[in-house]
Amino acid sequence: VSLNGYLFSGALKGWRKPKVLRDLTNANARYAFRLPRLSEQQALAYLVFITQPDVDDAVIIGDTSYIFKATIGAITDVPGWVLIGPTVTDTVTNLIAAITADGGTNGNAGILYSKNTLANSDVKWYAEDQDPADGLAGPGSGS
Amino acid sequence: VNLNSNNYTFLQVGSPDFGQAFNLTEVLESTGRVRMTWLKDLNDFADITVTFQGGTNATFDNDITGNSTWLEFNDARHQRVEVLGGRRQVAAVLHRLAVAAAEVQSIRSHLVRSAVLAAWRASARLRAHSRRLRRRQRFELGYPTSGGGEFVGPATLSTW
Repeated sequence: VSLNGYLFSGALKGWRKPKVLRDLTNANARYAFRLPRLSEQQALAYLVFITQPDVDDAVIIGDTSYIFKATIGAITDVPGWVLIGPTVTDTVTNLIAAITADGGTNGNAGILYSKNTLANSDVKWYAEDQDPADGLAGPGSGS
Repeated sequence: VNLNSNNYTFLQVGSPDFGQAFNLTEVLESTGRVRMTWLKDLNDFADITVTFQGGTNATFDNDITGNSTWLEFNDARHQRVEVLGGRRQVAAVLHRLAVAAAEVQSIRSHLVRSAVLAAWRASARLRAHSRRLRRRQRFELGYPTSGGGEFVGPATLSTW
């Protein structure tokens, strides 16, 4: 009996047989280094419209409230009012415009949503000329 | 989306970045789920939520067979990288290599560390001497064959 010892067979063999992980893309490469890919997810939520919202129905996203209205006056300076469109799809489009402030341009402020409505900082949105980042979706709609 | 055999229009909103912390962002509506309802997914009306859901922090698999990108080099002693462009592009590539150091799991990690150290030094040097640089720059990420691991002069930079 030995302590902290082991029997050596004398065979000059490796303990493990090398295993092929993958073929190199570059046939001339002699060294390869691994960069692990990150796995991460964006937090999401979906607002399903069962019917058209009524006047003064409200939606809250993060710290920002949106209130649906039948008309948006050009002089309305209360932020967060959203015009109810002729269809649910139009209403959702108006809400997206309000959330993103038309991609930061405020192009439809006073028309589709009230003036002084800022882009929602709790939501990912992109400027008009900005390329979307992988895995980070801006506001969208579907039916 | 089709729920309970009816089609509904929906709005999708997401957090401004990745991360579990964004699962605390509130989403509410005032109709008591009569005209609108917030859902965590589009599978069932029962999947209601009052916050964003599904955000996760960044993780990676450190196993050798895990999901990864591989950098392949012809020669470990002179790992060559070519950057076409101005000072900013060159500095950006070198900076990426330096930043990657924390996540690099290498077959011969000491080589990578040397290369990354050289990249970091070169990036600093580029910023310091940016005015001298011309549009097309060639550099060599020098494994310390000479000069104590410093970036060793004009060479080529291969792709990965």
